[in-house]
Amino acid sequence: MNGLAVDVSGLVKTFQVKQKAPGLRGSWRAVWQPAVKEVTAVADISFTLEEGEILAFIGPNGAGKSTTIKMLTGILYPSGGQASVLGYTPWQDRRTLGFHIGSVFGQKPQLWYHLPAEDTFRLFARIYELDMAAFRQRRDFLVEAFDIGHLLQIPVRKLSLGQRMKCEITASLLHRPRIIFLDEPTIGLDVVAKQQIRDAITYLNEEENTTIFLTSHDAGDIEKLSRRVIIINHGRLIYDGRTSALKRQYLTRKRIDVRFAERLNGDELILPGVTILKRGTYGLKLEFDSRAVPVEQVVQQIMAVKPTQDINIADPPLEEIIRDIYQA
Amino acid sequence: MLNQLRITIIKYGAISLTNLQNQLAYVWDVAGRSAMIIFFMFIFTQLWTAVYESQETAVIAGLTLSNTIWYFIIAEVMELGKPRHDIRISEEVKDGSIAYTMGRPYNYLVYHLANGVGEAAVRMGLVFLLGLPVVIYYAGLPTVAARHLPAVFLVVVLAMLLDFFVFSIIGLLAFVTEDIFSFRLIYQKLVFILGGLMIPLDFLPDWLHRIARILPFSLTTYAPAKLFVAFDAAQFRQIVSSQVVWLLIIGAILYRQYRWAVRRLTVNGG
Amino acid sequence: MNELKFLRTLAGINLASAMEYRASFISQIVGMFINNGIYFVFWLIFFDRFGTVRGYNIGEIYLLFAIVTLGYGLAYMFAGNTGGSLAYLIAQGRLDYYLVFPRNVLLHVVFSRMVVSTIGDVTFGLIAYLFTGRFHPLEIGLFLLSAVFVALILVAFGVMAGSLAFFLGNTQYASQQLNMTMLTFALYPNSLFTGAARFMLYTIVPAAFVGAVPVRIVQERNGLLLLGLAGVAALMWGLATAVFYTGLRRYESGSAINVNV
Repeated sequence: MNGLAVDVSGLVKTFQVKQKAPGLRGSWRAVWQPAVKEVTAVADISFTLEEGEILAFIGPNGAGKSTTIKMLTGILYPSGGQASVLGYTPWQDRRTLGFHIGSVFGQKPQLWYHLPAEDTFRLFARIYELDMAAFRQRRDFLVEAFDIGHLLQIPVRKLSLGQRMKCEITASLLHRPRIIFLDEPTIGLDVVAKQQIRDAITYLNEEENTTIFLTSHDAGDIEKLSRRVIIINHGRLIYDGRTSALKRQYLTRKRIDVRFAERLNGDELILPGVTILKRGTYGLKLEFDSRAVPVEQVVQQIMAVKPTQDINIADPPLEEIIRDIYQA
Repeated sequence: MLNQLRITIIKYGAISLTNLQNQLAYVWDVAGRSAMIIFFMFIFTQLWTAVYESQETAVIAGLTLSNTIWYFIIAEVMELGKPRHDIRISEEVKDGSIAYTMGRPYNYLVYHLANGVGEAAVRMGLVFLLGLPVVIYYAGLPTVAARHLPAVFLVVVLAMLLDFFVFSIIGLLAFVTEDIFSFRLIYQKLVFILGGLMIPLDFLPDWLHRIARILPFSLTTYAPAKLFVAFDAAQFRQIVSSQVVWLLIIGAILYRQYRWAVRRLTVNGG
Repeated sequence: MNELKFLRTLAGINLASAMEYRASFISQIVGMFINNGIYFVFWLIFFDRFGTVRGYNIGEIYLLFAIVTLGYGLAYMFAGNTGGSLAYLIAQGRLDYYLVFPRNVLLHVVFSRMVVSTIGDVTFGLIAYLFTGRFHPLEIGLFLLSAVFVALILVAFGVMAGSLAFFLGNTQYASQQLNMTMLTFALYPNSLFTGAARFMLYTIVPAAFVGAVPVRIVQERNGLLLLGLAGVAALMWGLATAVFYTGLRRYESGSAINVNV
């Protein structure tokens, strides 16, 4: 029986933001009478997460993802509401909680830039008060799992982004955290490196029952890693459910971009269930629901109209899916 | 010929003016940085008041307490108004962008000089204005005669040019060594003592005073400050001729170094 | 004791990181030595010319420089993230890094930066002490202990100066200037300042406890005053901790910038 890893109810965070009118006159006025506006980053979020779950926590930029993670890791004090992580209140029991959580912020490296990763690992052993023998054993295990043995003696600044990220994740796992927060762990990585990192995360979750709290802009990360998705926008929770359900409902819309070899007349391709988003002299942009109209059928009909030069089938961007959910 | 000269003046004048505006855009920031002068002047007045009191005399080496306080604000204006283009040059050398900036249709060094004039004008003005209340409170009005001011101004201009030459050399050293910062530091610290920034050269022991007067450091800081508080025609002539001689010597070094740098850039392509 | 072991590892890794660039490592140390040396030369010339000024003579200056530079060196050699750099970390949201670790944030942040040039200050302070000619073991002991308390006071002051950023936004420059002001005042003879200025040196910018008071402790072999200095150091640490943690509740971690307006 698993316990609750995260229990959040009514979490709120507001910031005071200085306002300034454009131009020199605005700057001048801001010096003497600064206008302050209260901005809500997280407005009343509630959810729970069981130990051993993998959660994808997604939303557009500025939706409040990072602010939420920062409150759950004890970095920020909330303006209101409750949260409990592994039974601790993060902003009150920050130090105790620190022993049990790990975090990787894709854009805020933890490794010492001018030193080999090995040196940071040793520092972390001290930070987490690890027994040296146990530390070495754990390190060797992770080094093998991530295949980074050949990188340990090289100053971090000389590593590639993918190599660096693998070392970052290794560093954050040395103390066997029960829950790990991964903020954009695959950002900027190539396909192979992404896959390696996803494999390692899956392994950790399956073998060590580590709870994974993940944010990402990469639909691949979400589909391949997590069974559950939470979407937030404007600081509010707008979807909480299974990834498979999300896919069934929203990832079924497809977009097709076609470029024809001949000029279009303007009356081709009136298909039931297919919307024409844009019509050019040589090209068409279509959208349809693949549950209603199978992809093959649409493609066949396109090919029947005129000889084609190029066809591109894609999912709509995550931001649009979120907008759809939000409007629904 | 005359037309060409007119175009040149307009061009570099525009560079100066743009930098002046740029500095004004950050006037609060610059003022904040310059505000340290209030603190410095306060400490100086306290220290030198105590000195005159302990010597039980109104005049030391020809300077009254009021002279000494005015001396320090002029010396600080010269010091804090100094160009910082050596750092800009060394950054351009390090990131390679100098290959482009040198290739633009203007003389690279004159460009930096024009830039520096705009910047220095704002900074020197601010430092002077901010320090002024402290100085007037403790030292009253200066005793300088209006007819001497043009002469002092000439010395100030030559002093700035001399500083510009020295810092250009330091900046271009970035072609040879990565860390020009220690050269800048050493030069600045020599100005502290031998340039008369911390103590008027007249108060130094005689042998040191004489050495310091020959070296170029005093010509950028001590010279304008001393002539402002206690003008002396003979000293003025001596200072201006020293400034010209040093400008020629340091200018020649800079010229050779600059030629060398340009050649290196065109040969290696950056 | 785990805390000490941790801080020792932190200092070690800092040193290793600094030594990655050997040329700049050495030139910074030498540069700082020259920097201090110039001020020292100034005072040599000054007292040679003017004799005693307001009860201060060159002997006091040797001692003053020895204590302040050693104290400053010790402070910034281990605890460099104060003043301007602390304000920068706060304003830029860089405290996140420290906040996820199970450690005392204040100590972890402050001890995470080594200012290399301070090795020059420490050596300078020790050499300057040789000039004082005070080789009685009691005086040496009082000197070294005073320097440690001076270091503690400087760090505590720097923490408060840097913590301004929690309340006022980006105060990097102002915080740095506050630290500079403290140090500059400490390096001038205390007797120069009278009235309100003097009162300030014992309160808002407590430079007297960094310069004048330790000088008296060694000169007078005054153990009681040393205890007083220890008390001031403890008081300032208490204040600094309170200010820092009060500020931390308002920490924005750079998030306010990314919020949808």
